[in-house]
Amino acid sequence: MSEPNWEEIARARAKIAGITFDEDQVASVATGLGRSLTALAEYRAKLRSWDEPAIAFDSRIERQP
Amino acid sequence: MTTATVDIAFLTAAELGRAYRSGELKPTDVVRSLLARIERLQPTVRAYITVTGERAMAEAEAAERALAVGDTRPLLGVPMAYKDIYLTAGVRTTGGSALYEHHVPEMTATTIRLLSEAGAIFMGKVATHEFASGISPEDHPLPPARNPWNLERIPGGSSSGSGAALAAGLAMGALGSDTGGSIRHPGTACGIAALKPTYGRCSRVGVFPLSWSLDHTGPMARSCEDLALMLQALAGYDPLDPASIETPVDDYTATINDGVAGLKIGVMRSWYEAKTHPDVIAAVENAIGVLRDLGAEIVDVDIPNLELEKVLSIIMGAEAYAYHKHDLETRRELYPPVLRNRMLSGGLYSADEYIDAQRARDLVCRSVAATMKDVDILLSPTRGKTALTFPEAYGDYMGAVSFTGLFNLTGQPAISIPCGFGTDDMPIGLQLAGRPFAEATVLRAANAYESATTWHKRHPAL
Repeated sequence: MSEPNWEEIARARAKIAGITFDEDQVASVATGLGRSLTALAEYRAKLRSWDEPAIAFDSRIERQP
Repeated sequence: MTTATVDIAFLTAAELGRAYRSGELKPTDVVRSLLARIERLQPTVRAYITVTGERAMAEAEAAERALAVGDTRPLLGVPMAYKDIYLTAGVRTTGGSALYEHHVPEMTATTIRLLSEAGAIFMGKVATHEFASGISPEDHPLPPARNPWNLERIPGGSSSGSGAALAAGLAMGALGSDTGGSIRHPGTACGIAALKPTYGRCSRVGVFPLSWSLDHTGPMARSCEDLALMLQALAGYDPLDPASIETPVDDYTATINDGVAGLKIGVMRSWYEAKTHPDVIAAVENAIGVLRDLGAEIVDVDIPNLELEKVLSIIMGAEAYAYHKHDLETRRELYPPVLRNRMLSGGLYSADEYIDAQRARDLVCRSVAATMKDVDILLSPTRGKTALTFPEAYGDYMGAVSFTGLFNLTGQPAISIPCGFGTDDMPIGLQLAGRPFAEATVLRAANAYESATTWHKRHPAL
């Protein structure tokens, strides 16, 4: 499967969100977006295969015995 | 030992306390000496944004009076520097940003108040990556600090001035903040000791947020003993911080010299080895050998799901965007281009992606917690290579290999201590992480290593 065009994706999302980037920074933004969403895609693939329950992160920490 | 023969600048806080009580040094002499050193090195290192010299001298005089009547507080008269995202009543707090270049708050961060109550001397406010995020360009009104080991390199970040001040001998302790590694990065880059405590252990009240569910405050120093002394003052419940946890505070110095015999250390080799520079691998392998020789049980651990830690950037990006959105819309031009666009990119994530990132985070937390049922400490390098050059940092700071963000996701305590130098003569950091609220164990293991080595006693020639 070919690598998504993150720059196109970043531009499309920016249009929807009403965000205007500096043109010379779009490539850098796209790189960061690609890294993050690739990691999330790995999680979502596991989610489907593992049938994870619908959980949400609770930021409060408890002691571990 | 006399004032003339002691290299005051590089004494630890604990050594300073002992010298005060034996009468070998006086706080006013120490502060005067440091202020002169700051004045000499500020043009090159640029660690400080605001120096509070008159206040420091007044506090030093007060400390002398307290010492004279037998005050035993261990941080009494110890000069400290505070990252300029900590609010300080009556003292300019910039966040490292043009948006707050002349901002003088009316409140003081809880953590600074606690250190003041412990007797620490307020030397000033130190440089930070802008809003604890983007390294500032050279032409910024608040230009970036430089690494005292090599002025062409960054001192790590975002607690850049805190690391630089400690490495350059311009303070005996400092406060940093850590959202993806910003206490530990300058720890490794500057060759100092730096502790990110458990999420909820130290108050964040009065500190500019970057990402509420990842932000930590914590101490930076030149020894593990000093970190323990500082954490003793800083740790505790703050009802004004919704992340703060009401749980007992351990005695961090009571067990710090107990050694590593009996501790089981899990080496995260499969996670870091392929991504790490050979110099760093060699230093970390040597450190593992030292810990083994000291009696620790060393085992390799292979923790599932660690690749998901990259979702940290979604959480951090979306939360930072939520905080900065109004200013990005109304005062856009005051953000430097790289930071502005990085902050804006947090607005590209959808609600379901942010939620799934937090769910992925939960999976990572459970994977790490399962491993920590069997080990006391997790070990890795702090970063994959030594400090970046400025051009490298301006190019892709967020892309540099780092092993710190995992413990922002899990909230566990994690320390960075010096464990060697690269072939480029730059410091290398060892990261040790413990179970939630087990800072005492982390400090104990780190102190055992530090006591058996001399890396922390090296200082840059300035």
